Amino acid sequence: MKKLSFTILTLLFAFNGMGQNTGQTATQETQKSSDTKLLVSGFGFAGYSKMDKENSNFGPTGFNPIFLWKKSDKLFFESELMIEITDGTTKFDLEYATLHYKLCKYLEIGAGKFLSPFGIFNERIHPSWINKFTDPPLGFNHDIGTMVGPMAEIGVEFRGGGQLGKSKINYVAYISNGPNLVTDPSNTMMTGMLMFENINDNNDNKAIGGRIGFLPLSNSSVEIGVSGQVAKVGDKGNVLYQNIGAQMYALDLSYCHKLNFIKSNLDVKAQYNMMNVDKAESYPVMSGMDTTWDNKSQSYYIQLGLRPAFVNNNFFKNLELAFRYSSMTLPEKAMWGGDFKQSTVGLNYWLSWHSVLKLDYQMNTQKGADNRNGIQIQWGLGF
Amino acid sequence: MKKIKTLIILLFVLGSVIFGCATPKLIADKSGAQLWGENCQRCHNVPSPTTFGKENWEVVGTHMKIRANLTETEKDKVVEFLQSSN
Ligand code: HEC
Repeated sequence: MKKLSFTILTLLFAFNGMGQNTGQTATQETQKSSDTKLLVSGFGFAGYSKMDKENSNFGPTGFNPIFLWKKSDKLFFESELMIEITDGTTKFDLEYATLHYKLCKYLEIGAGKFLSPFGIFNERIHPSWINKFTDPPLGFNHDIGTMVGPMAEIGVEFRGGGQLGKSKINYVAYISNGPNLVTDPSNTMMTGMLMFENINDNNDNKAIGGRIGFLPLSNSSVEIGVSGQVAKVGDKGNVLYQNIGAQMYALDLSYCHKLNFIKSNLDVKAQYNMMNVDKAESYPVMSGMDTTWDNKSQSYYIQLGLRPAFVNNNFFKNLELAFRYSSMTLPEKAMWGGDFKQSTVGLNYWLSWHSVLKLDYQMNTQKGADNRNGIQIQWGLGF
Repeated sequence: MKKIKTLIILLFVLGSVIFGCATPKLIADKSGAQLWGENCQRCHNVPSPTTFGKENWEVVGTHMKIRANLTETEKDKVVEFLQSSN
């Protein structure tokens, strides 16, 4: 531990040195005012859905205030609350609350609760005025049992970005509580599932993860990302499960391009998540069920947005056509397993840069179950 | 613990590589307006420079630098452009 602290300290000093070498930045910084600056931002949304054979329903609806404090040129605090009425309940959560300190121009340290830098959905797409669809893709929902990969971490992160010739690279590495494995015999419906809200760590092992993003083109229009997280997930002291680990990987792609021939912007985003939990000898399950299984899950989505932003007509320039395909495969033998597919076609109207009316037609299929199709409407507003 | 150490060292090596690279003229010459056009529409629509006042652009700039892992130069140039055009 002592040796580790020493390594960290040495490297941090070295990094800090790098920042100082470029004397221009140092002078600029002393010239800037160091007064506290507060900005309240965030988003809200209201929705309506009518799925076949189900009651029509107003909702979900939500309010997510974001508080941003720039305390000084190096110290920054960001926090988002989530207040949402969905599935007949009101949910209240701290989405993130992170203190950031700039160690040098290439590296920031952040501590607290932060959105998992695992792929791009959590960090970059989740706000209702950014997401082109009324809901998250399969595998990226907050609901228990429908998450393939982490959404938020409680821990410490290091992040930054830099120029690499004409290309760019960015990086995040973190250490956090990580997920925990459900093995409770009184909860046989969920045994073998990973819970990501591990507020009080269930063991002494910490999850290690990170993402590296690469932007090969000088105009930043393409970004490819690789993420990973490894952790021990079993309860400490529980001999059956304490050595069980989980490994998760994600690949992501972002691409923006102006299509001159149709005077439109094309926006493509995709992410693939895979999650492997070491096979347990047996889980407490309901009688008659398999007691263990290959505990592997995966999910992915690919989404396209096409907006004729450069036509002269004021109505058409604010319209956007969107399409998303997503899939989630959970271990078949688990009580919570299944194979899910979803296609969503959307028509969006942008009222301003961060206010959007969305109309989606969504088709859901699940192996062994009836299809679930219908219409979802949402008004998303950033502020 | 070994894993953490490897990770930190990797990060450091990465940092050194980036730091060691000279920025090509094509990149160094980019204006704040160009960087704003290229970077700020990658995740969401671009807010116009008049959306916020000078102080708030500084807060937003820092927030976006962290969220999008922008380079320090990109952030500084974009914020300067946004502040000067409102
Ligand atoms: C990598 C994706 C990404 C890029 C690139 C990006 N943003 Fe953002 N931006 C976001 C997300 C995500 C939010 C929502 C806030 C949150 O979730 O914390 C946001 C929020 C904002 C907001 C609302 C206020 C706030 O800070 O939350 C403004 C204004 C904004 N961005 C401006 C910009 C500008 C200017 C740039 C270019 C320098 C930029 N963004 C580049 C992802 C991005």
